[in-house]
Amino acid sequence: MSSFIVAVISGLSAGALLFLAASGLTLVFGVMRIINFAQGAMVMLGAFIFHSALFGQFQPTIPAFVLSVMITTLAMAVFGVLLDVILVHRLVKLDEVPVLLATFGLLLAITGAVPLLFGTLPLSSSLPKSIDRTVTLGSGVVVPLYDLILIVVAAVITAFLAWLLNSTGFGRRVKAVSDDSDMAEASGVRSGSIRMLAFALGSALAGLGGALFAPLVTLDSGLGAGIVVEVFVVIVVAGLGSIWGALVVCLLLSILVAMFSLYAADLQPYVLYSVMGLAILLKPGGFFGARHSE
Amino acid sequence: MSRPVVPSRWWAHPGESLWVRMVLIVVVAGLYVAWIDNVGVNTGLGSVLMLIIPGALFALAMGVSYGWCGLVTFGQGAFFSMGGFTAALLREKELSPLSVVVLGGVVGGFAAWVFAALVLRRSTSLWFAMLTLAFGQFLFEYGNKSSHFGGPDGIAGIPRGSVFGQDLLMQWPFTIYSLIVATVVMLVLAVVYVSGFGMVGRAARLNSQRAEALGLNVVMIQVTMFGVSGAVAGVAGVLLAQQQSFFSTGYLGLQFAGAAIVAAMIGGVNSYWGPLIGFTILALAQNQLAGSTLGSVGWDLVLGVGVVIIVLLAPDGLMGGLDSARRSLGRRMTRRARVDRRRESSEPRAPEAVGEGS
Repeated sequence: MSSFIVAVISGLSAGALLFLAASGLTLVFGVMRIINFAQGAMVMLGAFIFHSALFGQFQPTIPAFVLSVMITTLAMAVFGVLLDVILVHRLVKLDEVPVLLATFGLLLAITGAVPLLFGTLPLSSSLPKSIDRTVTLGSGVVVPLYDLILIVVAAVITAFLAWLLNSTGFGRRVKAVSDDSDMAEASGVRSGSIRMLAFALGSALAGLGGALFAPLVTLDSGLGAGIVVEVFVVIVVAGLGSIWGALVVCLLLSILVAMFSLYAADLQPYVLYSVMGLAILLKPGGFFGARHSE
Repeated sequence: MSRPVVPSRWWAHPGESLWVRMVLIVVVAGLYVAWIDNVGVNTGLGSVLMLIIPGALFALAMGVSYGWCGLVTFGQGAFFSMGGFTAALLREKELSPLSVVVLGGVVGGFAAWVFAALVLRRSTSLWFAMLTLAFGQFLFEYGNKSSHFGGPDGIAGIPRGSVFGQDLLMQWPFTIYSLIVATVVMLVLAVVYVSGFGMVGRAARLNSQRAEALGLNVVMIQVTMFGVSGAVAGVAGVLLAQQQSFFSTGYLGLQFAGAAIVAAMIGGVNSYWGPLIGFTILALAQNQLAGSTLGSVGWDLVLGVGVVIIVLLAPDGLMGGLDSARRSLGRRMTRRARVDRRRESSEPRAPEAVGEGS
């Protein structure tokens, strides 16, 4: 039983990281109708920026860690604005498939730029010393503290997104632009700026995800393609356009993967793809897909 | 392809005629042989040219899938690898290399056909694109875990064998052999391209709703065309496996398929020749940049920026650009001819008044 709870918690923390990547993609799709193939590469870029922001400290102090996470998030938000100005706003009027190809080009470009900017050697860093430990919750349930932190961070981000999209003027404008951008424009909403802000927010979420992910893995430029596949699994199962659907699917899928690695480790790499295949056959368009089914 | 006139004279629209196309394929193959012969097979450029044959066929498979029926695929490496592993797994059977090529094509084509039939029955081409990516990744995981496929180390020792008594072990006979295989594939594809089936496939890509309204079964066309694409990819995989005597799961990755997508788009997916031209340009460019950082670690940056520029500025690629240039030139010439004719039919004028038309 205790190992079951440990697996659930580790699944939840993996799901929390996945959600940071998937929520950005879903948000951007909702507002711009753009499937951002490069989201995984942007998570990877965030991880590399985080590593640079540590200035080579292998085991940073907690303030340095938090500061680096914030710097990365900000830097990726700026990157998102730049990307929108240069490229992304031009994609809004294109069809789905050319957009997918263009953002695929973006994925390749980021994947190629990372070794030029950060060197070809794999990089790694570790958590601050006081975080890098386990905590005991009840009898025999020992989990890494960082897992709990990730879950809390994801919960905070979810609450923030819920507040931002449902209770602010920005959220209402986002909704207006995603429902009918011409009508929104006619009512005085600057749809271009709303799209830019939404893309920057998605990019910042990718940066945050990358920064929090960075201490757990060895960074190399192949990371982006792997992340994007997982994100695609999530949006195929969840459907496009529903952030809450993405949240539910991220958590359930990650717990499922954690269960498999506990009870049937051999099959664990195939879980995601099998679920994706089943989802396409049973419910094309996703279980939470709003307008985009079929 | 909004071509206003039905071609009546083959020389007015040389690209439309099957016979012209077939002659061109053979001529290009001959020129290619002459080119390699001139460069020398074992020099740097020569070995790049050797690799162009399977790579260009793979890019062509990409073009068949996207340009000929509108299915973008990021997992075409899967069918390429099925061909390659067919050759790898049959390495100890004493089979003729040609029968391995046919077998690899059948395996790749059948797998692609089944995959497309399963997926497209329930969903659209957008989801299809994402699923191909996951399919390739799934096979990558499986291939690396399973002992049959040599894991990350790959399988070595794939024989080249001999065809019609000609030993293919040396580079030069093997180049001729793979060129002949590629030529045959291209001839078959030329027939497919100009056939009614090829035409409805392009119709399905340009406007699938309108094609459906005309009574075409778009899904069936796409499934079949994707099968053709998988078969071409499988043949390309077998050729590469035989050429390198080695095959691994590395070709299942996004990078390899990505390069072929870029190649097809640079050349122009609409056109028959586009993917081949695009791949040749890319391979030669990479060869030029090979010494620099941009050509090795930063090569993906070049590819990625290339895709973005193509999508935004020239969605029909190089061949599309040439085509529209030729058409606008043709229009201008037609206009001039019409003006000339009108002048001829009107009253004879003084020679200086006839002068140059605008």
